Formats: sequence, structure tokens, C-alpha cells
Amino acid sequence: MRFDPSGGLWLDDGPTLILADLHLGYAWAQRRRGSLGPVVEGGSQQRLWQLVDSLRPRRVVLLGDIVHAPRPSPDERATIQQTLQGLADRAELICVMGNHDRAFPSDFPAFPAVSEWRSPGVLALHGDRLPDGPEPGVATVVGHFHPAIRIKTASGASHRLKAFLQGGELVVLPAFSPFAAGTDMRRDMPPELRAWFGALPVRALVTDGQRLLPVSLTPRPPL
Amino acid sequence: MPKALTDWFAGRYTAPTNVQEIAWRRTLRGENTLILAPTGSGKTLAAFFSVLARLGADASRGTLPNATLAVYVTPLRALGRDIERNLAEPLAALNATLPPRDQIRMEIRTGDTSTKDRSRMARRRPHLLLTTPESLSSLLSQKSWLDGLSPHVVIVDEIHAFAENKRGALLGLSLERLETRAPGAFQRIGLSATASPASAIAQLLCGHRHCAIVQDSVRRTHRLDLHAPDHLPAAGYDPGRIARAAVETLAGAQSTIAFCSTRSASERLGAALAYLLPDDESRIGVHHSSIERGERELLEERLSRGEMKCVVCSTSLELGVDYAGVDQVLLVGTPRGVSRALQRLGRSGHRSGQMAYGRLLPLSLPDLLEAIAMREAVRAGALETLRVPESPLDVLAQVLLGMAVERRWEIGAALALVRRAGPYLNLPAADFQDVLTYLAGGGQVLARYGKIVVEDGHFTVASPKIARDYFHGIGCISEDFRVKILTKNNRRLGDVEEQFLASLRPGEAFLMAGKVVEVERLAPGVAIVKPSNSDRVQTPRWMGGKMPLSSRMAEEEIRLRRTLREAFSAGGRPACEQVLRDVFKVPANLAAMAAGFVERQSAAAPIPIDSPVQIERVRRARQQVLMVHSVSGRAINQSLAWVAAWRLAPGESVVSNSNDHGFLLSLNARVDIDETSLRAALAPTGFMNDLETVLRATDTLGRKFRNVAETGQLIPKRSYKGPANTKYSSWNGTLLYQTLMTYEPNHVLVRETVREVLEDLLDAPHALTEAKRLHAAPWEWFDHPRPSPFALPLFAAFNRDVLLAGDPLRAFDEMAAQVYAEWDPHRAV
Repeated sequence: MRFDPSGGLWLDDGPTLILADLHLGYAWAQRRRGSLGPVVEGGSQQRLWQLVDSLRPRRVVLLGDIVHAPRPSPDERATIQQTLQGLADRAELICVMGNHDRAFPSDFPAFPAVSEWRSPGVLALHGDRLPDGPEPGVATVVGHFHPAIRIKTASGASHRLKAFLQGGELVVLPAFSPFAAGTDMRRDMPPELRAWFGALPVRALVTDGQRLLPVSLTPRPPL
Repeated sequence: MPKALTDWFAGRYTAPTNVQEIAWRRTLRGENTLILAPTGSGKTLAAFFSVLARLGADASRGTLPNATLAVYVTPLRALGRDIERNLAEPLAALNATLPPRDQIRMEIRTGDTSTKDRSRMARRRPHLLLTTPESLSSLLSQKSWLDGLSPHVVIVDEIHAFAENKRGALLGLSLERLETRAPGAFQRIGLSATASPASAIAQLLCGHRHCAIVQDSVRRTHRLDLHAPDHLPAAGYDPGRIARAAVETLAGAQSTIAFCSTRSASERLGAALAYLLPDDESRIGVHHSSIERGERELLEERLSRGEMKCVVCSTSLELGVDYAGVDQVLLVGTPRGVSRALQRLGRSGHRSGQMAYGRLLPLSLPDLLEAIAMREAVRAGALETLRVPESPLDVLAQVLLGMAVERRWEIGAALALVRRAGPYLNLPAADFQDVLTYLAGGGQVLARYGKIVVEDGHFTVASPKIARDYFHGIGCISEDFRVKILTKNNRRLGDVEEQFLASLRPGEAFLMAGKVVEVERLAPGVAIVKPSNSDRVQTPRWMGGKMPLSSRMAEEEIRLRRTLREAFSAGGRPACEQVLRDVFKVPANLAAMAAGFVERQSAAAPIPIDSPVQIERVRRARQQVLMVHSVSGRAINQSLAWVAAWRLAPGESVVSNSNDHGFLLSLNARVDIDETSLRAALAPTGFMNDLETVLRATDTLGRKFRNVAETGQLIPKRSYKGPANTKYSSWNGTLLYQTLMTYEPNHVLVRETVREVLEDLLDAPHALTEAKRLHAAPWEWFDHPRPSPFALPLFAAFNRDVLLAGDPLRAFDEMAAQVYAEWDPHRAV
């Protein structure tokens, strides 16, 4: 099991690349909800295809929230279709459903969807419904929580960087979507994760897209 | 002129005041009139008399329709309530002579109005409507209201409070929309504190139309004294000493309003005063905009009954009704501008025969010099020049959407209406078109879900749902996440920012509305608190804007510094003391303190003035810090610092900081900087371009952008959802900004953000002027082993981030005191 700076998880079995929270169609979906923001694809299609071309997994697992909203508009649907087809052309594509994917089977019937995926020693599901605890000998891999860590630089500027979390046989992947700002896990770790981790040590690795850096989850005391 | 009205007036007052006489000469003739007068001069009746007269005349002829005929607009909801009270009497007098079916009706309509009252008003229209600009904007889009709107006059109160921010733009457009509903001639009456230039206010009110400007010739006398604690630090301030000095000022007065620079400071001072004056504890209160309205109203009532010894506020009591019992104003720290100081002073002395009296409490030695300069400025009475935001596009987007909700508009007619409004007289047609295109969804190839539909040269709202959503998003003020603070009995104390709550550690309490409380539990958008005995008490920080020094004040400060510099070089410390006492009328003890400060500075270098320009450099280990002393105000200095930093060391990291009196640049010691290169960094050529480039690289634009996006209807207003729920249902502000910068850098709202930051925030045009001046002026350059006393405030603030200390405030002061002590010319070496 290896973390990739793209935000994906690499499994030697396959080999398999797991990516979470693509939220394809995000900008269109916001428009449909009434915002007047820009309608852009965000570069996900190119990033996904290039990533798969360079890592060459035999299997790609999309770990939920593959799309952002149901009933896409025509150009939204066409773009998402094209993106997913491009992945299916390059590898075996497994679509695990997340809470944003309730209409995925009817909107994109060409891509069969499942509720979870297993491989020896690994259970992969979206994460909106966590099991009560780990299964013995199995690492649970989820997305859903969009983990990030806020880093302050010397000049005073602060950035939220996407992060992997690992602890207590649970791996939480950051969101792949360029439109997911992420939740600062130092300040706002959701109770479900807190409950799972308990008092166990949790490892956090931030990524800037190129490199991974371990960081501490306990913030420095404020001045 | 209804006899009932003149009888009532004669019975109540011996004679009209000066401002009433001169105003009525205009208003009774139906002229647009701007009335400039301080509070307490009978302003309300000066403005309303003609309105009441006409309403009364129509009523007695039986020609009063069931419609709104007169609208009064105020920036503060509280003011509306007070006006209602003041007008109740003359209205009652008129109505007493009228049959039951011809009574004149007056109502308040704001965001606080209950549904029950709203329905009642819809059936029985108020003839006189009292409201706020946001509510007016909302009403102008509601067909049910428009049917009953036939205004012949509008009165805008405290109009100077609108002038320098975007609420003025919203007001201006709303006045134009209101005028289109007028069946006949439409009169505009404005009330304002004295402002300069008055023509800018008249233009905000009337656009290009003629407007008579009427000024109260009776000058209210005012007096501002200086008062200080026995010791003033070289930088920062000591809250304990300030509180004790404040107590001294309270002794001689019946009722004092104390103004602090921030809401946090007002909470701290209020708590300290209550502690130091236990016998008066119940007569001390804290008042600011984040405190619950009910609490504030209670305080205001007690203040007007003369029951309060002292109410501490930030700016919330600057505007408003006169409190007859208040005989003193206390300014804690020098206010940021002469107009502001005069406005605050004017809150006292409303009993007849009294003058406006105030005391200024400087917080530090640098602040003492500013206080002396401020007192000079107040004596001269000269005011700052108003700067009205120029054609803000976010407000335009909001109003165009509101117009689309109201009805279908022909594009040319809408453009003509907008350009009649004062703030939009010079709006380029292309900008107008861009805003329409943006509202329609972006104008790109395929259907893009817009909020309006543009076709055949007309536009209208795209759907009823969008119309409904529009009403939730009216207004310009956008705040960070607010969390309501409730007691266990559901009494609301006020609100604090979510970030502040997140920063509290378990067991830490905080000050709210003068009480020490602790969080018991959190719910979405709400924190339930209980009283606390904790000794770890934090003061909430609210993110209000801090006003930079005005150019008027800068002139006074430079004049003072020049005088002291000459005095010191002629006769040292005693000469300074003398000139302060004789010329500036500073009390002896303060003159001694100030002269000591001058002497300490002079051990490092002569007092920095405008020409020669003083530069100082301090080298420490691997860093060099350059300070440019420029008394230009924080906005201008910020611009200068950014451009200089960017130009000086491309590729290097330069950290900059600025305040009202200068800016500093910190960079690697190995970078070769001398007078030539620093001068070049301040060259006026290419200054504006470089400023815009730097701006786009910082996160200032990103942070400002969210407000603009909310006002401009791009995203809905944020609301706090609680720490657990972090899935925002709309765009993240920073990501939205970055996405637009990548794909649509010329988007109308990006342009508006750049304009707002450059013009309104950074005062870029004046920064360019100052760059030109600095670039050409003679310089004096000093290399010091440590920052000079005059540089300390900027230097100490800059270092705040790297201090490691339990109590950062105390460590900061200690550090400053240490450096200050080392400059003592009498110190044994």
C-alpha cells in the first residue's frame, strides 16, 4: 500500500489505483443550484488520464462521490461520460457509490456501480457509512471526509493542503477534485473519525501534488 | 400649512432654531435640500416639517390615499425607532384634528419587522414609511408594495455614514428606483453631519439634479482636553493603566460615553471599569454592534434617562439620537480622523447651554504626539475629504437583479436610471453590459443557467425561485461566520466569530456584553453559555476594519513633528517642553512626557518628518530591516511597501509591514540595498501596474472577493453550520477566486474586487502621489543597532509573530520597553 502525491492509494494487488471524491460536474452542479460561478471542467479529465497513463495500474477504483449531483445537464453529462470512458479504456474501472452518487446508476448506466470493493486485506468504501470498527486483518480505505491540514508559512500566508490520514487500520484519502477545499483535520475532525481513531496514533501526510510530507495532527499552541 | 402643526410647534418651542429656519425656506418650496448640521440642532424637524405639513394639508382636504407618500431612510434601525418617537407628538397633534378615516399613518419597516406587522402595513399603507436602505431595496422589488407606493418626498438621515461605503451605492440606486414611482415631482431631503466637500454628499443624494445645501451657521462650541496615565509605554499599551486613567476622567462627569478603537477593546475596558468602580458597577455598560439588539436598547434607554455613569463602545454610539444626560465623551486612543473625532465629541453636551466636551486618552508615547496633533486639528475644525466608491459593480449586479425581479425592463431605460444615481454618473456602458451578461449566466456558447433572461433588448428575472432567493441576499455587509451567544434561559447576548470560539481552550472564558461567560455546549450556529469564574478570560476578536490615518491628520502630525524637531535642535528638551506648553497648550505633565520622548528619539536620529525623508536600517544576524518613515496613513504605506518589496528583490522573499506612520521591509542581509536601489523601488513609473501585479499575488484580493461575490449575487450569503458540518453547499471562497483568476480573470466581480482594493482600501492614486514625492525628495539615512523609538510601534508589531511568550501582549511591551531604555542618552554605558 503506497500513498501517491496525486491523492491516490496504490495497491500492489492488481496493481490497483484508488481515487476518491472526484465530484465530476461540480461547477455545472453549482450553476444548477443557483450560483453564478464559473462553469469549468477544472482539468480533472486530463489529470486523471495522465495519472493512469504514467502509473499504469491494471485497475482503477473510484471511491465514491464520483459525480457531484444527479441529473446532469447535456454538456455536463457528455464530459463526465467521456472522462469515465477514458478511464475504462485504460484500465478495469470500478465505481463505488458515495452519498453524491445516488442517481449514478440511472445517469451513467454504462458504468456499473457497487457499494463497496474488496481485495485481500483491503475493504474500500466511500465512507459516508462507516462500519463500527475494523475487520481483523483488513485495512479499511475511505474517502468522503476531504482531509486537509492548514499550514501557515513564515510570511503569514496560510494554505490548506490535502492530506492522507492513517490510523487504527483506517486510511482516509483526500479528495481528488480541484474544487474540494478540504476540511482542516486539526481543527474540525469529524466525530465519526474521532470515534474510530480513539486514542490510537494517527499519521497525516500532506501533498502539494508533487511531494508528500508528514505533519503532526496536533497544532502548535497559538501565540 | 395646517394650523394644528404650527400650534403644536408654537406650544412646544419658543422659536425655530437657525437650521430649521434656513432649511424650511427650501423644503417648503419643494426643493431638493441637503441639511448639514450636527446632532442636537433640531435636525429632525428641520427635515420633517415640510413633509408633515403636506401630509396634514392633504389629510384635512380628505385627499390622503391608502398609499405611501413619504419615505425616510436611515442607516441604523435604532434611529428609525427614535425618529418615530420624535414624530409621534406632532403627528398626534395633526391627527387630533382629523376624522378617524383620514388619520395620517407612520410605520417602521426593517428586517426586524414581524410578519403580523408586515401584513397589516400591506393592507393599511403607512403614509410615512421609516426604513433602511436594505429594506427599501427589498420593498422596491415587491409588487405588493409597489402598488401602494406614490412617494413625493424622501428623507435620508445621517447620509455621511453612507457616503464612503457601498451602502451609499445601494442607496443611490434605490433612490432612483423610488423616483420612478413618483406620480409627480419628487423631492429629496438629506441630513448629514458636516462633511467635506458637501457637494459630494449632495451628489450622492441628488445625482446631477440641483440641490440646495443648507448649513447651520450656529457653530457649536467644543473642547477637547488631553488626559494621560502617569506613565505611557513606548509602544503597545497597558490596559490596566488605561483603565485607571479612564476612571480618573469619569469622576468629574455625570454621564460619559467612552469610545474605543475596537469591539474587543470596549469589552475589556468595560470589564475593567466595572472592576475598578464596584459601587458604580451597575451603571457601567458595554455597547457595540455584536451585542444583541435588546441588550443595546436597554442600555440606550438607561443612557437617555441619565442612569448610566459610563457606556463604553467602539463606534456604535457615534450616530444616533442625542442623549441629554451625556456631558462628556472619552476618546480612548486617538480616533482615526478629525471628522470622526468631531462626530464623537458631538455626542455630549446636549443640555442647553452646554458645549460638546471630550477628553482624549493617549495609549502610548507615539499616540501622545498624535493626540496633540488631533487636538490641533479639532480646534481648526477642518475635515477629511470624502471618497465615494466609484460605480461599484457588485452592488449594481444586486440592484439589476432586484429590478429584474420587479418587472421586465428595457435595457436602455435601465441604464439611464442607473446613470442618474450619484455613485454611477460615470458608469461606462460596457460595464453595465458586462454585469447584465454575467447575471444572464455568462454569455458563453451554451445555456448557462442565469438569474436573468435577456432578449429583444429587455431583461427580466429567470424564474420565481430566483426571485425568492434574491430577497435573502440583499445588502452589502458580509461577515465571517457568526455564532449566536445564548444564555441557558435563551437570552441572546450577541454574537462572536466562529474562529474565536474555535480558539478557546477548555476552561477558558470570554467577555461578552460585559459578562464573563464560558461555553457550555455548541449547536449549529449557536453557543450556549453559562456564567464563569475562570481566571483565564479571553476577549473576543471581531474583524472590523480599522480606519487608516486621514490626510488631514497626517498634515497636523507632520506640522507638530517639524516644530518639535526645530525646537529640539535649537534648545533641546526644555525647548520642546516650552513649545508644547505655549504653542500647543499641552498640560505640563504631558508636555514633559512628550519632550522626554522627543529627547529619546533624538539620541537615535532627529524626529522623522516629510522632507528630508528618513530611512533607517537595522541589521540583525542574517536579516536587514529597512524602515521608511512616511506619515501617510496605513493604506498608502501598505501600497508603497508592497510595490517596494516586489521591486527590490525579485525572487527573494521580502516581508513587509506597514502602519500609519511608515512601512518596513525585512529581507536577507546579503541583498545589497542602498539609497539608489531603494529610491528606484519607489519610482512612480509603472507603480500602478506593479501594485496590481503584487495584489494579485497576495491573498488580499481572495479575501475581499468573497464579500464582492456575495453582494454581487454570485454565491449566497454564508451561514455558520457548526464545527461538525463542514460540507459547504456552495463554492469555497478561495477556490472560487482562484478558478475565476485562471479561467475568467476579467470577470466583472474580479474587476470590482481589484477596484475596491486599489481605490477604496489602498487609496492607490494617492499612494502613487506619495511614491512620486518620496522618490524625488531629499533623504536622510541612518544605520542603527536597534530600531529608533519612532520606529518601535511598527517594528514591535512586525515581531509579534515570532515572540515566544505566555502572554504575547506583555512580552511585546517588555521588548519595546527594553529597546526604548537602550536609547536613553543618560544611561551609563
